[in-house]
Amino acid sequence: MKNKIVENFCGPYPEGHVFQDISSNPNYVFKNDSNFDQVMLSDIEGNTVYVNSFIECEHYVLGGWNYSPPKSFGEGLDLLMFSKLLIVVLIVTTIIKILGKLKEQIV
Amino acid sequence: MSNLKFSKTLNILLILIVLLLPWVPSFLDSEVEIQELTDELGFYETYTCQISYSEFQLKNIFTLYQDHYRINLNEYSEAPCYGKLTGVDRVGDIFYISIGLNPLLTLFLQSLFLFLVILLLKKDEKLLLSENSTYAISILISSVLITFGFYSQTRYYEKNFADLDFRFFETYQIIFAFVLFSSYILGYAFNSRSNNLVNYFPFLFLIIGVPFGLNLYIYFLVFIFFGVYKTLTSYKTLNKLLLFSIFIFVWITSVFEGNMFYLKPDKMIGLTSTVYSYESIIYWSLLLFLIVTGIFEYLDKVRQHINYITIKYSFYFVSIVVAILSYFNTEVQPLNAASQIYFGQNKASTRDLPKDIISNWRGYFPSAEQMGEFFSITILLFLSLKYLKNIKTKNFEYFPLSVSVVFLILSYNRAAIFLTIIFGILIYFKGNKNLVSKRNINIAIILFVLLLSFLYINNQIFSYSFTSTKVLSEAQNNIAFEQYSNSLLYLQENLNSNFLLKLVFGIFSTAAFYLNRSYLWGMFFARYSPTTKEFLFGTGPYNLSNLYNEVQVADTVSFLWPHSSFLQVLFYFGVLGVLLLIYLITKKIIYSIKNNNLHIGRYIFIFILINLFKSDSIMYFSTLFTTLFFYNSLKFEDFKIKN
Repeated sequence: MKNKIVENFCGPYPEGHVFQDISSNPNYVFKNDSNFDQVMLSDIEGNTVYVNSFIECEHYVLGGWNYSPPKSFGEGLDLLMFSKLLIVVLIVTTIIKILGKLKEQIV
Repeated sequence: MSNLKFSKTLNILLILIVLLLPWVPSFLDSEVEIQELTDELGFYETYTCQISYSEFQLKNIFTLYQDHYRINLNEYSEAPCYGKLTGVDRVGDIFYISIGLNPLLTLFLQSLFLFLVILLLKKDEKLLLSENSTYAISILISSVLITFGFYSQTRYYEKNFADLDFRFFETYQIIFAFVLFSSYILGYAFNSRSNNLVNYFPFLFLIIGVPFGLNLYIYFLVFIFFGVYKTLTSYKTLNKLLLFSIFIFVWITSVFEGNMFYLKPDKMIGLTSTVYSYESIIYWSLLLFLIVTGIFEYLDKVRQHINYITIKYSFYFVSIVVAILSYFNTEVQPLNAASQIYFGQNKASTRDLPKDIISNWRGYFPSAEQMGEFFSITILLFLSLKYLKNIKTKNFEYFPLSVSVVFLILSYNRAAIFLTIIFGILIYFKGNKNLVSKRNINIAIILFVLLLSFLYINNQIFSYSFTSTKVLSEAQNNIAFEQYSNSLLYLQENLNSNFLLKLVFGIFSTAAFYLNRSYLWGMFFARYSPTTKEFLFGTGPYNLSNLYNEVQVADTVSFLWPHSSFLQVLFYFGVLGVLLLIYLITKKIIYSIKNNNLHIGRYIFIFILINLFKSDSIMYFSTLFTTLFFYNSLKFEDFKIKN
């Protein structure tokens, strides 16, 4: 069964993925998956770990490494957000200009 | 009055904020304690994008003045990394301190900086263009076109953006938003201050305007907008665009017949296409049409306010500032980097001082050629006003003029130096007609003969049979893998049998020899391989990708541009384009001679034209604008001269 939290952190489930209960196997060694982009996970105390396969990621997320470190404004800044902000500024400025012109016409 | 003062103070304060904000430590930075920079670089490799540049600089003051620390601007950074250290590397003895930049944020920053600077000028009583629906539509269309420019050159741009994927439509929405915003603020600044602004056009040589990582000038945002506005409001211009579209169609058909080629823009960044594809041809063709239309529209509308005295002082001011920057940018690395970020240099200032008084030094400019041309124009404008219009020289003027003379010599642009002397003499005698007597003419002829004799005795004059074929022999010497270009094959087969070709090419080759262009123009012909259609109509403006890829030539020491705007025009617009341009220019010059015998603009325009024949400066927006400014001046009797 697909877990939403796992998907949020690790990306979509690979095709044919079968859940493995690794916690019951202390000798399990994680193998790197070249198709998987490395993901950084954090626990509640702010510790971080890098995982290199979906299985490893799923294991850690289900084990409590599913906290997103609080993002500061700067870290959260991305071009999409910034571009939306610019458009809002433009729209507001244009509306103010139009209203100003209307006011002039009325007076 | 006090309101005005407050507004200016506020403006200056905002400029300072824009200048400093991206670099200062802030609450966004990591809380790690910064270490002093030593040979052990582990700390700076670990904490990438977490330390603001100024924080690093304060901890490592010595990197400001010691020779072996260089700042490396890294455009391939995500937005949160802007102004932060993205690493420190060591290559040999040199430490490269990388600062994260993002091309779109640089566009935003540079536009905001220019916008605030322009707002310092007095507002015009009337707007240049009325802010109606056409105004809004024009800004939208020009922003769409510039965004299309990104789409047409994705291979170039995807290397410069870490956080954008050019396969997605969303990416273009983001770019469009940034372009639209910048167009809006710059459009407003130009539209409300145009009458004053035109007299400051020499500042284009200082505030170059290429946002780091983008292949465009921020001035495009304004002039394309003006061009679109003109096209939407004038049937004549719309018809011209429709006619021009036929040429665009012809150029596109050449792409379908050939391959797709790429070109690294190097120092020509901003005004050269990076790819030979039909999208890029459409983009660069429309861009050129609209920019030229926009500039002419702008110049026509503000012509009553153009004042040569203010322009002269602008040239003086820029001369001094670029001279200062040329020197300090070799020593102070952060200043060198800041010049690139805020003034948008297409190539960073040189980091070496001139080794000799004549050493082809380029200083702040992207090339020594352009540096020579700029300082020559400054000198010639002064001479024209002094001798043609009897404007008295003030004592302080000798300082910028001395600076101009020194920097002209440092550039060692021999053609510019020689032409400045010739034009200077011409202007002097034109202004002092009483000195032109038979006796003086005879003296001049004797001096000229003596000079020729001196050159001949010193083996500086070569036989015509040698010089007239020098370009051809250079082309033949530089073929590789038995690949002969069509132009080279044609010249080899027809040069001796066709008298007219022999005469024209012989003169051209001789001129090339004495201008030290035989090798460079020989390389051009080794590469230039047009079909008949391409020879007649060219392959489209500002697109040299196929010239440098179609035919392989012998290796060169470095990447060499054609070094001739004339040859570029031949390549872009074909022989018909060259003939049309010659016709238009000749017509304008003849008109201006009839109109005003002492026309200042004509002298400077002809000077620029001759220089362009042997330089690539038409690929710099500053030179393009200056050329169009003086070309457009030929239409009018002359501009105002008001102290």
